[in-house]
Amino acid sequence: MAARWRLGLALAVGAFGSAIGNGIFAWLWWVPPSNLVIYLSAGVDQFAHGLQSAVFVVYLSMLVNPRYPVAQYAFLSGFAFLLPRLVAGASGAMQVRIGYDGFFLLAGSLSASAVLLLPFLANARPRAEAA
Amino acid sequence: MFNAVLLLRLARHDVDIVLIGFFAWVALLPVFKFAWAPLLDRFDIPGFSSFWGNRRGWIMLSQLGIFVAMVAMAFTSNDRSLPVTALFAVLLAFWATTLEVASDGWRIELAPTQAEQGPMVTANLWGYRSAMVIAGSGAAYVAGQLDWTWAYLAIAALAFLPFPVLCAMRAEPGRQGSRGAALMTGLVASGAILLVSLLVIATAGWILLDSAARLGISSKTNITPVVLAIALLPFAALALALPWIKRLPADARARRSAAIGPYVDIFWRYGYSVLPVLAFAAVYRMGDVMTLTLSHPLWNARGYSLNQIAIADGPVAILSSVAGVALGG
Repeated sequence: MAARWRLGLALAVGAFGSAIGNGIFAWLWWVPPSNLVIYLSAGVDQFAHGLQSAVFVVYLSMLVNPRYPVAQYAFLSGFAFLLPRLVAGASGAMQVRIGYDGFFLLAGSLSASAVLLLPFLANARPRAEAA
Repeated sequence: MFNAVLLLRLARHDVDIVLIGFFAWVALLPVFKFAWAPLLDRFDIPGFSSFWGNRRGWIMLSQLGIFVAMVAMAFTSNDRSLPVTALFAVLLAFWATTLEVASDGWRIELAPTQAEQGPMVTANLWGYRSAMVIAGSGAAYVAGQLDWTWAYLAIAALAFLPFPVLCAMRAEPGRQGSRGAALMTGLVASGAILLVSLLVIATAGWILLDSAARLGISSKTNITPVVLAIALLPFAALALALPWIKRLPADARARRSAAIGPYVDIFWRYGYSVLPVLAFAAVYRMGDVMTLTLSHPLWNARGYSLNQIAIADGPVAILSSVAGVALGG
């Protein structure tokens, strides 16, 4: 998808997929435990997030200057995990407050909200090397 | 990568859920990787790099680091001393991150365009995601059958497998010399580097815990805002300097500096439009990372058994993420 489609579209599909992948864990919390429930939700979650991460990695890789691929990709991908990891660090405390279902619904709406920024990304183009 | 497993282990050992949240912060280390990533461009690994090149040299060193850290975790897996558990968890996170940095660089250099990058990312993520899943579910499964020590030893052995494969690979074009000699020098150098990294982490960790204790910070204190502020500082500084960076000539010293040049360059090339890009990057993976932290505790709390978790996390997860990545790339 990232190789053929326009990246903006692929990124949007990834965001909505991710939201579904999170929401399904709230559903798992609501229904009685069974093999079907845990395998289905793990499957949907992994499928959606696999798709999303592939699109995202291609997007980030296209942003870096070929002169410094190692450092710039490290910078961007590190930043990409900064806020999520901090939120994740507080996950125990959050779960105590809003429950497992609230936590996973919140995660889903956060990833879906990323599409609001997509129109602004279209303007980001690197300037030419010449001074 | 192995954080979810560590969190499950702590949960099984009845460590309090708020404390487990702090252990999730070991996973914060990768956001500071910009601090040492320029080292990879700057230095070669003695031995390894002289035969296999810079990128593969760093990859081999990181693999040894991961192996050593996992074996150490295997023999301290009863969680009797949480500081020791934390020390090896950080060591593992450091070398796993370095491995990622080195292989990302290698991947981008091998396939520089969007059309080429798609399949490349797919292959890369297939490997990465299935390794993660195999390690995660494999560990839970072995731990259910035997104990945590064997679980960690088994993953350590698996994680070591690519090393001999890399050793057997052809030399980097333009590099000559004996494979055996390069390997021996590399192993000795790696041993020394790993020892130094362990000492640095132990010292830094000791100072950090000591000053935290002096400041009256305990596991009950909410230090999230502090950590957030520290991690955000370099990004905020660069964003604030944006008006100045934008006006720099193409050959400015700040753009050529070994330590900050690569980062100044991002802001220089994209100007103000870098801000929505960074905001987007920060939010986009929120759902995935949050799920990763609490999915195991969720299953645990909902009463699923270790074996059910192992299957959900193993075959089910591998097949579906392989399909997802294939469609995405």
